[in-house]
Amino acid sequence: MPKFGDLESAIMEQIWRAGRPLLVREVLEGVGRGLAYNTVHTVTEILHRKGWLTKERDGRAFRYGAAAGRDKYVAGLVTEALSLTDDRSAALVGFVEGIRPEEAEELHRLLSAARNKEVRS
Amino acid sequence: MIAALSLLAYALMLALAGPRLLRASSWADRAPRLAIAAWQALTVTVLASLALAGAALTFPTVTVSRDLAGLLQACIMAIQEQYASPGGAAAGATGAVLALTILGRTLWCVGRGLAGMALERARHGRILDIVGRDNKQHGIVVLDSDEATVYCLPGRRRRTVVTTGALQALDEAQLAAVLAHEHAHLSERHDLILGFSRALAAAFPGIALFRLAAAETARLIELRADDAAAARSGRLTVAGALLAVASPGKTPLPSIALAAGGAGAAARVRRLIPPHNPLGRARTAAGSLAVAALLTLPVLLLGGPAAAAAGHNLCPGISTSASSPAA
Repeated sequence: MPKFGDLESAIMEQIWRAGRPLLVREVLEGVGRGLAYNTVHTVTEILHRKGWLTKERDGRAFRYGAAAGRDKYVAGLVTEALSLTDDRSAALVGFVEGIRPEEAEELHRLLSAARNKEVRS
Repeated sequence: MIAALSLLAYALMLALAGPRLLRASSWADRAPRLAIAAWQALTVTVLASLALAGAALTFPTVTVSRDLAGLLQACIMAIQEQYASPGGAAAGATGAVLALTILGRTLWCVGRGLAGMALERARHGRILDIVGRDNKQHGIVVLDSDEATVYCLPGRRRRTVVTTGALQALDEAQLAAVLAHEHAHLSERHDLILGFSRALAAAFPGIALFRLAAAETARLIELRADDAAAARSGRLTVAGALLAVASPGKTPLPSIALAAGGAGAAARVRRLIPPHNPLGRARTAAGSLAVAALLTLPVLLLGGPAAAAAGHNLCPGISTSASSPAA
């Protein structure tokens, strides 16, 4: 039995890959793993309630489509990570901010000089 | 009164001279962990001294008695005496307001800051759960983005996030260095230290000390994490990793990233290139002692003059040494 979060991720993956709204049956076929229809249906409904999926009627069933592309969510996270340097919050802790091109070039030079020295000594 | 005044003077002196001493010091970059502790000790001591000064104004000192009943009686009498005069009452009220304002504002802002941090992190984590890909080999979460960036999400479910852009920019050794850097952030809970110092800066925006402490703490935790990574991977590898992630690649970096910390990142690389020059053991020990002294002095200032005045003590204080009988 996969973890709940994994299943959410797998369902979103399926719908993003399809590029169009899917029926729960179609999602189930894509996700596979021998899951019960009801399990997939429940998690899909939860994703809809959380705002990840849109829902439209198709005959007697519903089709679920992605509310936004995967790229948009990733871009949102990356923007948050890159703006960590502003003093607003310490929710995330980063590795490094940007370096200006001129300065980066100079530092590359200094670093390779130091590496050469280390190799020789 | 003497205790209150000396505490106020101590707080004022620290708030004015402390940042200047710490910022001018060349040892901070060589012993970032000690410097981080010194900044936190400085801010906590200033706040504690002000709050204790307020308490000292509010509660009159009384002669310590042998038994609790005597102490309480002396206490009531001293309070009645102080608050009978308008001047004494005003000083007492001012002290109470000072102590409660500082205590309340600090607790409120730190609490709100940490709660906000937890919420933001939870929201970020929920999205990450769905769009991130687990890389079991390195124990990281990978985001499909050309933007080269690495960050960590502290907390109970701590995770290190690396974009595909950063993975392309780094070689195996550099990636190990980056992960060691993030591991230091996570295991030493730098997020809490940073959250605390930023909450104080937000709580008392007019006071330069707290603003400086927050900025310096943010800078020093990066130096500390760089040192931790250098101990594992070597200084030049860490410097290379920093350059690889920070150098502008195919995609231009957003202007905020450049404006906010371009100089900081470059300074970190420059610091790593020459051989390691950590602060000596004796000087580190002396520094640690100074930090401890910083913290204990307000307590001594509070108790000191009282003790000097032959067994006087703060009213609600419980004293174990009974020197002279109650008046």
